[in-house]
Amino acid sequence: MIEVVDLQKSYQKTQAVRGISFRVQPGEVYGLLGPNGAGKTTTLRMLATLLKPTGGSAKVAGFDVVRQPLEVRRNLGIVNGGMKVYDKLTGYEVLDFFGSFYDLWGPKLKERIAWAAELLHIEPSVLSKQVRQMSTGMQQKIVIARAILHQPQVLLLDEATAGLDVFARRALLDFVRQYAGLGKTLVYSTHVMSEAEEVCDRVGFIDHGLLVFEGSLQEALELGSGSLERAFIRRLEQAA
Amino acid sequence: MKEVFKIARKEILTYVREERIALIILVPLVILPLLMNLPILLLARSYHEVENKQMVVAVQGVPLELHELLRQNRFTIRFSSEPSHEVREKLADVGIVYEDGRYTIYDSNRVMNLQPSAATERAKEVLQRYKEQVVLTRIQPRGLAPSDLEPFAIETKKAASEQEQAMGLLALVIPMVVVGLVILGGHPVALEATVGEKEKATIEALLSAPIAPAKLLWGKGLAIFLVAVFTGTISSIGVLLGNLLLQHNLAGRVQALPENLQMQIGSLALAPADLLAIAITTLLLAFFIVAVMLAVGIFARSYREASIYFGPMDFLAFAPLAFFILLDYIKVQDWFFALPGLGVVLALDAIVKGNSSPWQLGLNWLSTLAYGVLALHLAYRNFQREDVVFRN
Repeated sequence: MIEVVDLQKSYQKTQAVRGISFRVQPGEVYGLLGPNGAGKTTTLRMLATLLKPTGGSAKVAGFDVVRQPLEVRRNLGIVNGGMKVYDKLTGYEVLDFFGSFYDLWGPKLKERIAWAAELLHIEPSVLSKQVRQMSTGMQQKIVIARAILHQPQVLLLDEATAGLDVFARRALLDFVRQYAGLGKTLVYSTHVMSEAEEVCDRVGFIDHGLLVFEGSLQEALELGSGSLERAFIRRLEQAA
Repeated sequence: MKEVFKIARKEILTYVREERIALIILVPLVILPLLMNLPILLLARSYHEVENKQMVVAVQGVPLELHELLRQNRFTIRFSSEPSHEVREKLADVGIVYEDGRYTIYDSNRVMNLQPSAATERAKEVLQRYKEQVVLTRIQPRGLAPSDLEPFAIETKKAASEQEQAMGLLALVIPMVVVGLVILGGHPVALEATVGEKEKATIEALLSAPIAPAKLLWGKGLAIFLVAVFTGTISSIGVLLGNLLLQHNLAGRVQALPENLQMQIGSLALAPADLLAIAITTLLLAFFIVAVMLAVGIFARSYREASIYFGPMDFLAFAPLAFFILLDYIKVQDWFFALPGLGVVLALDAIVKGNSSPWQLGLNWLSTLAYGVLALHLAYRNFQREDVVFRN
């Protein structure tokens, strides 16, 4: 469902992504792990058609990210830790606003909002509050609900637990497994190894814009003698 | 099209839920009429009070007949060897000195104070009347009448068009309010809709939705346009309310003021065609301004940077005032009507004064439309540039 071949991104003198390739199948959670500035966010932004690659290619749900950006966006949801939604709108208005871009109107929209709210444990009464009156965790749930409202085939989560308290974080990790269980394709980008260990089926280590390891979670754990963090450090040291 | 309206609705909702919205709406409706009326009301009231007030005049060398005339005109006489000192020390409202066939009036030279100015005016009137009495006593024995001293009359009439005269104050206020508030009214929404998306980290969620950049631009532009036109409209209503108040409640009082303090209260003496021309000019200006705001707003990294870019546009909001002052010294050429922004001021000015020509209006409308299209193109390009959109 996601196919990335030699993907590259350069900004004038900086090469943020230097040619990475990976595939993610439906029902799979792929962990894109790397330190800050490794190129995770740039990679996900290219997959979400927010940035144009300067080399290579990528397909999301069968659509090319450069030539078919609108089709890609119709089949994709993206959440990142710093992402916000309109704080002066109510939760319902936010979902109504974004839903309209996916042809979700009237009863169908209501049905989807109810579905997302149930999946993310959002009380219906909370949806009538303005976003600025909600807790940080609840705001993040609205951000996620917005991303899954159209039940995208592909969901990209980039440092999505940043700033969340323990309960909200737990709810999010549970949600990731649940959503993958629906046959969806997920990329889970983080630098927190314990989270990746908990939710990912396969992982890729990215450093300085290059994928320095790719394999199943089991293979990664074996590489680190049972610790994903140790595997990550070893592989990055070897790459350096 | 549904998406365009959805985006516009979102921007307007965000604007409306701003805590200051009540102020934003009420200020033009309350403050503008107050600003137009209050100074005149206070001036007229103070002048009326001062006019009937007993005032003190310090005199030196003034003949007795004049004393009597001064007393009849509500002056209390204070004899002094130095009336100018008395006025300086505020012991008298005005001073009169007669020396070597010359009357000198000392006034206080206090700015924005009606009482001394009224005292001086009253003293001048008394002296004028006294002069007429003296002249009469001198010419009568020679068989002359006062009319013999005035062989002809002098009259001043305004050469301005009838419409300009009928519009009075409104001829100046309408272009200023329309241009100023259309520009300033759209600012808050434009900031929120562009750089606000970056500052509040909502832009990524928005751009990841399957919406074409053109629709996004139209939606945001529509919201800014509607709010700018709305602000311009309620401000115009505020001006007209203020004018109605002036006409019905204050006209008499204003006319009672001395000529140098009077102003001409006009009425909305515009034909439907003029109103239509104002509407077209304003809407085109709003289109142009909105497009510029979109292009500039999305380019900025922060509210602060956007405010710096919007600065010259704010200047344009106040340009009419400067332009009206300069208009007397400039010979307006037809091509001035094609200048961005200022051409609109000229066009509005010409419409309200009844001096507009179809050629000048056409030139202004076409040029404003062309500037708007150019700015919109730039905005469209900026919205598609990732180095601009993700600049923060």
